[in-house]
Amino acid sequence: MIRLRDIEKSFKTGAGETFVLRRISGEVQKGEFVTIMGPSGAGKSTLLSILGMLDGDWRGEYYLFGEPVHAMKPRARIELNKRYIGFVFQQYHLLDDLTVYENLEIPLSYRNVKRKEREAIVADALDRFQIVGKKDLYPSQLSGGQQQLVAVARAIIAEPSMILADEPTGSLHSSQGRMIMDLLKQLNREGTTIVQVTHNEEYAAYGDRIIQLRDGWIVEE
Amino acid sequence: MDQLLSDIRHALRHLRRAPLFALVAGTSLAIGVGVNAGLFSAVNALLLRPVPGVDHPERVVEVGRSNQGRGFDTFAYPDYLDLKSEVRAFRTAAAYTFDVFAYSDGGEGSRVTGMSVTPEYFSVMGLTPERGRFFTADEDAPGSRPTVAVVSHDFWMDRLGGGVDVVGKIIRINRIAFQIVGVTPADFRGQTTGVHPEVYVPLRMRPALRNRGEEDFTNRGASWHMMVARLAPGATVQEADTQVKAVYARLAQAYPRTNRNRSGAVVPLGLVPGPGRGPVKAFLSVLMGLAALILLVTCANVAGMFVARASHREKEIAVRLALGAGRARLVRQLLVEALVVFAVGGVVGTAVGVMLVRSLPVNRLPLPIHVSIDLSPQAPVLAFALALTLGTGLLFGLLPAMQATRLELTDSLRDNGSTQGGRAGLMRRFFVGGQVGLSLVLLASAGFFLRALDRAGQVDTGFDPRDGYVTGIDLDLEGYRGEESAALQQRVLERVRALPGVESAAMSADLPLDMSRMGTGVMPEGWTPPEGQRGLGTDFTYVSTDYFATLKIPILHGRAFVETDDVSSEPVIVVSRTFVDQVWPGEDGLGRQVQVEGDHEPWRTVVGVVADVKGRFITDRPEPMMYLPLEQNPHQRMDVVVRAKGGIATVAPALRSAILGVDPSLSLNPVLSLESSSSLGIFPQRLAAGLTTALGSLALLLSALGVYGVVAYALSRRVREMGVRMALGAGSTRLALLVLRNGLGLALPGMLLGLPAIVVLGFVLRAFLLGLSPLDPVALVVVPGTLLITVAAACAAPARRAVRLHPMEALRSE
Repeated sequence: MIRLRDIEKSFKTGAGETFVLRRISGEVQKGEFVTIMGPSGAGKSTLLSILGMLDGDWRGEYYLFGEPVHAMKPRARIELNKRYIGFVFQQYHLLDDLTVYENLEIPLSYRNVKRKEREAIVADALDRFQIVGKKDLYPSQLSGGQQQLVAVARAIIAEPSMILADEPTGSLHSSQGRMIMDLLKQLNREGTTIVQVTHNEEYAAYGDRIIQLRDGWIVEE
Repeated sequence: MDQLLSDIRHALRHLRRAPLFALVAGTSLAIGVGVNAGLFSAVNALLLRPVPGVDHPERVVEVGRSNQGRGFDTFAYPDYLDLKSEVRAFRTAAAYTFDVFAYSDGGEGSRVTGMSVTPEYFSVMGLTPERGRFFTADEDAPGSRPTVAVVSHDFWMDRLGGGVDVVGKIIRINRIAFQIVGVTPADFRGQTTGVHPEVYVPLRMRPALRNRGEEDFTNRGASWHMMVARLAPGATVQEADTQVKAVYARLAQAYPRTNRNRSGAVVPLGLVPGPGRGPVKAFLSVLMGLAALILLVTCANVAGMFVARASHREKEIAVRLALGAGRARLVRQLLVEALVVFAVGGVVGTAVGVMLVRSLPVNRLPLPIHVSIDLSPQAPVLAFALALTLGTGLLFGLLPAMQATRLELTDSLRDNGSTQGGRAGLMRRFFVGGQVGLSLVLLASAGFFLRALDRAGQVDTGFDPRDGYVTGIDLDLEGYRGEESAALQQRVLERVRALPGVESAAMSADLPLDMSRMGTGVMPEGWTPPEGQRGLGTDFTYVSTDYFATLKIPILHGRAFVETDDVSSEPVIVVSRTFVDQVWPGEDGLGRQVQVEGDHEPWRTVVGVVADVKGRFITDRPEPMMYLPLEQNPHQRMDVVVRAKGGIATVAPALRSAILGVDPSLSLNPVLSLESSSSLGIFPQRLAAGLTTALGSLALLLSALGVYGVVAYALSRRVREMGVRMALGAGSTRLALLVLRNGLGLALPGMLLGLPAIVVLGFVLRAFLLGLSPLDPVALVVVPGTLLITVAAACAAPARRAVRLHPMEALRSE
């Protein structure tokens, strides 16, 4: 599903070039649950951003479902992102001015799904995540766990093939964290590929395999 | 459409959640759009609107006479006949003149606005009578005395009660009985803005109404007719203009004495008559230019606010992009938000602007006739406001929207603060700098006009209007003739002079600074005219005894007119200093003689020289002026001017009652103070000063807000830096100066760009500035100084916040 070859990212600095990622190569198979770990500054989130096409400034080769992302223009990358990828962030990143319902609806709206169809899909998601009663609440009216629940629901609402989760439990209590990880695992069992970044050994174990990064290099896989 | 509605819904929700932002941005735009919409409604009313009620007004033209290629003047009747018959581009043409008539229904007389017209006038305008008929060709026959009148719809309704028997009714105009034969349609209120003729009479009746002979219809030197024409099918204004010029070239050869150097010009019919259109256009262009500046200031202010707001919403925008929103989609969403704010500001501004302009006291101008300009909102005004709102909304909404969506997503989604701070900051600085520069130009224009107004108060007008009051009597309108008129004028003066509190009283056919002047050509004794000139062009007026004393016009040499300067004595005149300086330099002019152009005019002896007085406008340069004694030169239309203590509330009724005591049926002009009547001469400066001061103050306020916003925002992002500086030993003065330097750094580039613009502005406005230098120190030093002080004041609150920061809290700040 994902094939990376010699991915590098660096910044020009006064002293020369500072590398964030060095010669990252590897593959992620369809239906895998992969965990990326490493100390702060290792390049975990940057790698996730490149996978999710949030970052376009890197070198190397990246194939997603056989399509060469590295050769694509930004607009084509956005289309690819919309077709295959859902995001879960550590800080949930729900849109404060939108209700739970509208937060779930927005990825569908960006994919030009018709209104009637959107209503049906959002209703299903609300039901599935058992948050029907909260559909008219704003994010500020929800607990952290509830917000992340909505964020996961939002990430999968457009039925992406892959969820990229950047420390999805980083801001949650342990019980809430476990609930989210169970949810991700269940989604994975249902066929969704998951790549998560985490510092937490317990949650890392939810994955099928762990990639260790340090100073931009893959040190263990 | 669904997405657009959703964007609008979200935009409204965003604005509800940021009411202060919505209020400040909306108000700011309302001011900018309102000023422009209001002024444009005046432009539309005066220059763009077709004349209401006229059939196909684009096919109607005004014809004017030029002298040596300049001007747009009135015609002699024989010239009109030649043009009418020879210009093939005219389907039909009409001669007319505006008049003020004395209308009486038995009691005290009143003034009505009227026109004397040839029968073709109504067909040129394409009118169909609402009642009865218009004039026939018989009623234009030489020697006829057609006592028939057409009245306007409003006159019929308001003065005659709107009865169905209006046709056939008898009304008295200038004491002559006229039978009403028709009524003009309700939607036609005259061809000139502000002046709504109420009574139309045949042009052939004008000599009888004005106590003049028939020679005005045969004399090519008597130019007092105006002319309109309807173009022949397919003919253009340019063709008509060329043909009129060709006819005038022939007339100049055939009648060199009267028509030498004369030509004609054709312009489309407009609500401002041909001669006034140029100055009105120039003045309104200056005002619209200033209004455009205030719009730019407000737009820059709002755009700066959008940039700041987008910085606060950076994370939201990043999330949306991460969720799959295309950049175009987000730009559209942000643009819709901007357009909603612009639309609210535009609607409120248009409504308030148009309402304010409509409430302008145009009808309270000190004029002898009632003037009202229709400033009701018209479709073009609304279209202009809509275009302005959408245009500025798209332009000033698009830039911040595009800026806001240029993000480094990875950084924006982390809690690393702004990734676009640098670019957005630069854009805000650009907007604020632009605002400051534009404000400087607006403030400088206010400075120029205020200085001009101040100068107007110091300009030596040559007379003293204080304690002066004026009204007018037109004896042509009242049916008085010859000696009867002179006797009435004498009795009026006697009664007025006898009033308690009156120091002196006099009559004059024309007063200084009332926007009008009479002119003629004269041949002074011993003076050789320059090449190509037959005589000296001079302004003139007829005055009674005591005129110079009443207006306190200084007598420089000789004497004023006395009782014995009458028809039995030698013809005499008094002239102005400029008159003497031009024709007899180095002399006092006393005893010299002057002949007015004309076949039977006597030589008149100069008995006095007086100081120059301002003619039409305060900006006028001194021109030669000649005063003729009323007793030797009977004149029917005279202003009565008195110098009296007690104020207008006391003087006005006493003056009216004294004059009406002589003849209760006289119709008088309203009594005005001389200060008010002569204020017409500085009306353009006063209007411009008032408007530019208001606009300049607004611009100053908006600039201060803009600077405050950027400096406060910059400080909020530098709190930790401030903490570090404090920890390193920076004192409060140093921190305050840091903030101040930030603010002044924003303003200075704009000011540096604005300064050369001020000098250019000074040269552009020079004609209005009463000799003020375009390098006026007030404009170049005081105005920028004021702006700098204001900018510094705008930095005060952020500076105060900076010095009050607690170092440890500042260091912990994110």
